[in-house]
Amino acid sequence: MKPAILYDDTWEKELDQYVQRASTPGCFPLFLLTAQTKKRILPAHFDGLLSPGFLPHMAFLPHQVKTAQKVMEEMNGTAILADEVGLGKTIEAGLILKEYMLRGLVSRVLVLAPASLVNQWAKELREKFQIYAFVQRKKPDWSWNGVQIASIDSAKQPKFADQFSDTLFDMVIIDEAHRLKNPRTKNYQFVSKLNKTYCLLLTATPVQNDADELFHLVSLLKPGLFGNSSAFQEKFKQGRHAVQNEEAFHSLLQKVMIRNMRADIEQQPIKRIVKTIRINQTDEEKAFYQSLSECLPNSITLLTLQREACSSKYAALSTLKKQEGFFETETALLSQAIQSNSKAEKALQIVHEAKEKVLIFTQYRATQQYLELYFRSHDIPAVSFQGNFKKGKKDWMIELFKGPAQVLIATEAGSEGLNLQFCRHVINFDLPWNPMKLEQRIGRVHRYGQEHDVYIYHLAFNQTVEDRMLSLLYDKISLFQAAIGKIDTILENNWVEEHLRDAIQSSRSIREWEIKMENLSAVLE
Amino acid sequence: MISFLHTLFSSCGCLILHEADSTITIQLTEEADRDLMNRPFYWHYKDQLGQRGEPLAVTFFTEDPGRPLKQLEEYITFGSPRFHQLLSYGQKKVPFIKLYERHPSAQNVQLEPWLFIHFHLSYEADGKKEKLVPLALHLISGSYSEDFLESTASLSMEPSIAPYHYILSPLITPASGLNRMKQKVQAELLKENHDWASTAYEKQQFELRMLESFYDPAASTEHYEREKAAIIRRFNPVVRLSIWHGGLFYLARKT
Repeated sequence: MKPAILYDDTWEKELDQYVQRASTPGCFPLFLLTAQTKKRILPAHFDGLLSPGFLPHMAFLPHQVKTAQKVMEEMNGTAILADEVGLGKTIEAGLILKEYMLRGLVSRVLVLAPASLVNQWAKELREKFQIYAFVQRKKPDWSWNGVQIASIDSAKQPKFADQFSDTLFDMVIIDEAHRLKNPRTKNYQFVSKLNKTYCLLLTATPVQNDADELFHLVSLLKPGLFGNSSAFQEKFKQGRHAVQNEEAFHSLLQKVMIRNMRADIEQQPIKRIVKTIRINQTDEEKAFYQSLSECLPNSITLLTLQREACSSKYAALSTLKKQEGFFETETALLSQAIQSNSKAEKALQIVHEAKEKVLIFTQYRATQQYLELYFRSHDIPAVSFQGNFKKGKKDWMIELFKGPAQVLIATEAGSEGLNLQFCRHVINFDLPWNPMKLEQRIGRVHRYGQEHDVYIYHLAFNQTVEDRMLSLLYDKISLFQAAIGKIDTILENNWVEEHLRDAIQSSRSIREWEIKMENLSAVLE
Repeated sequence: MISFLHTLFSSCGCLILHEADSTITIQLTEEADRDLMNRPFYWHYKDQLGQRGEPLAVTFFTEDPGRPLKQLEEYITFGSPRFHQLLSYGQKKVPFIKLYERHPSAQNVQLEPWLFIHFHLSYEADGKKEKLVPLALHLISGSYSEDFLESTASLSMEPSIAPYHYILSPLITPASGLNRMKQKVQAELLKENHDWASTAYEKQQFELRMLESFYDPAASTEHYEREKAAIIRRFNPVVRLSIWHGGLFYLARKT
């Protein structure tokens, strides 16, 4: 097949007039300069990357260059970049963007990132890729004809809808794209309506709960890759979570998704040493925990309350105290009887033994405050980190953690994008519901630039809801594994054995044992 | 990069105010300001009042200066939109050139006309490659030269004709010369291997079929049309042929 040849006759039309005009002395150097410069920058081949050559100050890692090249040569600029946390997805996206810009295929670009990461994107594009992006703030101007960065929340406002429907972006890049898993959300609808030629979705956790999420993500990029929705359900789905026809599913998925795994890339991989520490509650803690069902507020589930109590009594009390008359209850008395927190004591022990920086995650603000005071009362300098801190305060807290503080206590929110390679101990003071959050947490320290083995400690109370949570976490991880490939040892391998023993030894009723076994077999299926 | 900026702006008549390893400050001319600084309202206002405007001075950095940039300071690299803009500004400034050789001979010199053109070929499909093809045509004999610029590099060329130099009039007009050259370039282009185009076309058809399996093409929706247009943009194989620049060169006959 011969391609169409489109001839541009602008120059030809002017030729008669050109011939009449005399040239000026500066013309010839300029004439030679533009041709030489053009020759220097033009892409002489379809394949291969030009961008690394234009960025001599950057030492790109082989997997990053390979990824960028594959996205350009095989995926035609539409891809999900799903590297594990900390392998440099931003760098891969930057390389691809730079490449398309150098080739003159892309000039108008929209980068959508969480509001907290907008400035970091601008900084990385500028420093690493010499792309000077325009950050859209309070009064965005979408007519900007270059690279622009905005938060999805500011862009999706209905008042801009007309502007967006009239604008063709050469490339759209969406960071933390796992936020786009639900097609009914405004975010998803906004993105699916964008007029774009090339598109990159970045996420470390393309699946959080079920395989439908992957289907929806892929449908933003390449509608029809898995067929339409009903074909997908029929061909690939099995039950709510599981995937069938795995091989076919994988080979299709690989057409749009690249997932680099830490273990495959590092020659001497940083080991991840995971310790699940099971702690027995003190009698006081146990009594408090068991009394919770008696003073349950209306709008709160027992499970929520129990999970809070597994973290600290303060987390539970922050919910309970809102209830009128709570302080007269038995539970309130029981809470006062608790003099110490067994998990905090264990955490203190770990910090003492580590003699290094330790990052502690909790889901609860109350636990965070308690822990900060607890560590300080034991002469260990500790600082807190929350998502709702202002940018300056966040930076300051990280600086403190780099400097004098030994312990950083972080809540879930706002931990995305943090780079804490200088620390290698992570304590999960309580377990999040979502197994991928675990991965996000660990990724703060287990990322490029980490030079030592990483220690992860899960603290869990025996015979509490935390035990059961582990089984559900495990279920979700196996689904994730089936869809994407193998996953690091987030949970210990011998967990299954342990669970079996535990189910026989500690169940108080046969019903409990049955449920546990059902869970387990569902997991192993 | 600095030498590119230096040559570009000084050839356009702008004054270089300051130059160092990674930075250069340029006093723009009014013309350059109008073309590059994107402030049409300012110039419109000045024009209406019949006043002279004041062109700006810009500082370019080729490396991150390590501090926030002030107004009228810019960061520029190969491949950035600003760089493309400057390159195309330079190109548009000299789309055509007329040069005469100054021959050291004491006697009368006959100059023969050549039409020289840099053709720009852009092969676009799921990727893109480009070529700049130089070609020169002797406007009397009709012979071609493919290394014209290299072979004339040692000659002294000037924008006006020197005393005692005479031009031989062309037998081929520039317009018909251009036609001949265009046909030659196109004929050679068609002889090339175009597997890339077939591959891209197949990919395109495959993706379109996939899209149709997702949407019901009978009930053509806005969504479907948008995705379809995007696929066509991503894969359509085409070669764009244009003229980067060209010129008439009058050279002394080689003896």
